[in-house]
Amino acid sequence: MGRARLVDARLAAIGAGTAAPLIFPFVVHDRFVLNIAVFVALYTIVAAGLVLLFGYARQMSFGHAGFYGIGAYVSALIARDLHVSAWLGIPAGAAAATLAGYVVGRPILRLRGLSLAMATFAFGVIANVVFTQLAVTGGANGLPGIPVPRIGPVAFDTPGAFYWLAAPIAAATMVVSWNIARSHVGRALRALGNSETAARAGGIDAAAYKSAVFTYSAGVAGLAGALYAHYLTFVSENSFSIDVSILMVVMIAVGGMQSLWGAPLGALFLAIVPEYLRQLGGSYAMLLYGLLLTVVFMYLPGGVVEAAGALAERMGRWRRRFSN
Amino acid sequence: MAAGEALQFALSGITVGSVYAVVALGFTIVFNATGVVNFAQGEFVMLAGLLAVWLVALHIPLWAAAVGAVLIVAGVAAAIHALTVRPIERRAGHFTMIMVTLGVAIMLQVIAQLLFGTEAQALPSFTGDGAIRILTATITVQALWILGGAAVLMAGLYLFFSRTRAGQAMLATAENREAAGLVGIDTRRVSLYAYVLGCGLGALAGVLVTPMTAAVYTQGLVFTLKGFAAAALGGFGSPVGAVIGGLALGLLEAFSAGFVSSGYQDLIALVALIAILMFRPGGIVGTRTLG
Amino acid sequence: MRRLWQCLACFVVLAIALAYATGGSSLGAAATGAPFKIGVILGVTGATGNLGQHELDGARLAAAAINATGGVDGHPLEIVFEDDAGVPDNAVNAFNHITGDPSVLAIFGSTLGTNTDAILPLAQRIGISVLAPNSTYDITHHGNPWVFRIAVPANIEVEALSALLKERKLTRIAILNSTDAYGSQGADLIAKEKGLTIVAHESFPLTASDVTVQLTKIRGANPQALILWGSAPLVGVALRNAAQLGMTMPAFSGLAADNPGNIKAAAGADTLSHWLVEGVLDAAHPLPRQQQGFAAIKGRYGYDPDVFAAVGWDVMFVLARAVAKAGPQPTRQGVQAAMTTISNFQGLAGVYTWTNAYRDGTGISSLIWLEVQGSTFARAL
Repeated sequence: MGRARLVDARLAAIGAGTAAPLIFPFVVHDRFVLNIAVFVALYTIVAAGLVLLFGYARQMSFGHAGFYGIGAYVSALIARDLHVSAWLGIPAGAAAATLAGYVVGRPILRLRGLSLAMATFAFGVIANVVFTQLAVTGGANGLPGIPVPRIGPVAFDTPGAFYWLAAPIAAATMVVSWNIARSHVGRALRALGNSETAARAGGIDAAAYKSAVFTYSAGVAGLAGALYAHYLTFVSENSFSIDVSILMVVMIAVGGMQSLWGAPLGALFLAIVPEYLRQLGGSYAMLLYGLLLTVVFMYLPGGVVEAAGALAERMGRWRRRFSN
Repeated sequence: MAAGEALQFALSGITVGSVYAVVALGFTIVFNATGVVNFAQGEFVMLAGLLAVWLVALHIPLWAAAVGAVLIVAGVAAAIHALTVRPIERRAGHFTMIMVTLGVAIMLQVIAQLLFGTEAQALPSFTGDGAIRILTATITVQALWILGGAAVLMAGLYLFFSRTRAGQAMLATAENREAAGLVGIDTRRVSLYAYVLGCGLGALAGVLVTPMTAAVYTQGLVFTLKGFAAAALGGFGSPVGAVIGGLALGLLEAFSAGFVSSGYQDLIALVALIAILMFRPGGIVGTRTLG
Repeated sequence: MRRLWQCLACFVVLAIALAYATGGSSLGAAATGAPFKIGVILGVTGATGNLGQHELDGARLAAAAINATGGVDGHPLEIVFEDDAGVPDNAVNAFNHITGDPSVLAIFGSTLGTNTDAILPLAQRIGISVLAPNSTYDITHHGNPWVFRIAVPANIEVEALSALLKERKLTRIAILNSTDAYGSQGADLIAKEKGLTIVAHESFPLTASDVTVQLTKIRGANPQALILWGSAPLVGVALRNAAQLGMTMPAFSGLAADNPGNIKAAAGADTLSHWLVEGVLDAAHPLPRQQQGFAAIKGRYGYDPDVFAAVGWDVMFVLARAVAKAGPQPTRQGVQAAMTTISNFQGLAGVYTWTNAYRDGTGISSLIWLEVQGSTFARAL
């Protein structure tokens, strides 16, 4: 009985989670809310890669804003300066970030734990210095005038229109990540996340799997970055700083890394909570943000998904106790 | 001329590097005894600098302001340990600890902005603004204070770790927490003392460096990054490594700015850091690796 | 179980704090008619907090002053402010949020040029004027009819510098700039100036705490003048390092260096006595057009007015004029059209003129050169 209810609740959650993003743009027409929704979609794309990297393979990265930036700059430059369609720029940006992910990840993933955290951190800062110093990226002043994606007469130039580009891509990325998680790759990642030595002993090529998941997470971060560039039509190194790398980690840590559900939940959190605090205004809001992070990580280290699961279980137990 | 320039680069590299060294020392001591990678370390550097400026503005003599700033920061560190480290130190992993200290870092930065404002603040040099000529190069008297302060600290820490019971207890806890507990060491107390000592070292770095670079509420993250990089470069978990890493980072930055390109100085230092991590995982000193 | 309670308790505290913070933020306006709203997006926290807060102070004080004397045709000006903390995504969020209210007539912002760049395409799409307090050269060169610069642009800063250097026959120069947007843009523009020879060009990241290495290389190239292009406190650190290296050539800086943080960071170094900084005002010796505003700022906030507070003040008076010109029922389109007819407006930080073709507001005539006298800047030439 209790278990059946839990399954029902889960189905309802999945149904609501699928239906809400489809229905809501028809209900809501506010540019501000739709803009937030676009960012939720972009963050979900990034998180769908990072959850596999952090939660499944248990590899830390504090430098993914670098890949986000590579995707953004490559796509922007191809569409803007080579006058090629944004529809070529966006996949090219994602491809460039994928390549960068492989080139960086393959050697760096020999490191573990804090060494890996430090090395990815260093990569993030290095990427930012390059964005700031190169002439082709517009230096610290950034790149204005990035073209908007168009299909015939339809331009994706408003939050409402861009949502219909970003949200399906986010959904597709989630589906791909889901398939990876459920395939033998996902099981191998879990195994090496639990114990790399044991996984190796079981015949899993740990280096190849780690490199593959890192490359994938870099690629989808680049995809999100490319979309971001064509959405804002302006990018500068400010959008790809080390703070942004840290925010990405905060996002999946709050959402929860043990399940892919953590990706959209973390994206929702990151798009809404800091925005709400920002509107409160002033330094006290930032103080609350720091306090919130501290408290969440101290008491909910498994993120929202795990906490919700624990709460559901507890409520189930209470209900049983009362019905007895 | 080139040799003269190289000497000047070396002197400024050592000056900046000794600041990094003191920050990295604090990092290392906290990490060793508590397992906490303290991303708020740089905020203590910043906080001490601003506190010292504030105390001087209250007409407190400079030396007393410097001491007072370090003591206040040590008190703040003790409170932070009680509120954010102690409740979770037995169950939290590196990752959770990093994220908690990030939250603390955000709060400390905002508090500094609220208390001290957003303007850059300067502290007078300890003994005047003079400079000393060494052959063709110059070094400021304040830089000598920084170098001397770092040297005295290192000697003091060496004695502390090798001669005192508290120091030995910290080393034992760093080596094996469980075993240290079994032989009767109060590891919780050790954790507190190490945390306060490490953060106090950060504060000392802040007091030493503020006469050289003005203090401003946003500078904490920079010191955190440089201190973390220095500690990793030298060999995480080793006080000697922290010092060598700090000096190496300072020299690396100075020489890459001097001989390659000043715009890329941060990049070159970090590429070197990645290379060291890859090819010499224990850092320059190579005592132990991070796991 | 205990952990769960601890956690819940923490959330309750947070929720109460949030509710409290939301409650006390609205202020009633003094004038009688329906208010005319002006959106203000500035970086008052984060890296630009220092500058953004002063811009906001100036704007708020000016709005209060305008409203105290009857507002605009009896309608008070109401500031709708949001902080972007120097983050472009925040600026975009704030822009969409503020302009979602159709009665907001114009936008003032943002503190950081790259944030202004991020909101300008949006402003063009929905049609609302942006008064941009940035020196960033390119913001007025994209053919966007909705942008009105209210600051001295970088190319004018460099033009003034170049003219002074040539007048003093200091043509062999060295540049030391910060690697941020302001510093690198200025350095690029200086390098393009004809008649100047760049004998050394060095830069420093904002993470630097010492620039002795860069200055040692510059000293080796033996320039006649040292151009320090950056903001506080690192220009001050550079001046101190230069003195330490025994460098005695004159030094020059742009508008962003006009900040007391640099004087503090230089800590009495000899180089301060041969350093000239571009500015738009001398707080101790106001011009007639500056007297009333400076007294108000000093009286209300206790600090000497700087370019940021002055620009914030000017924005509101300029907009008051534009809204008045736009007729009894002003629209965004009407305010934009009125902005292009403002001519010879006597502000605190300059004399402004905008037309359809000329969008920079102020020119070289608004610039003065400042020198350090004691612990403050004062007019030099």
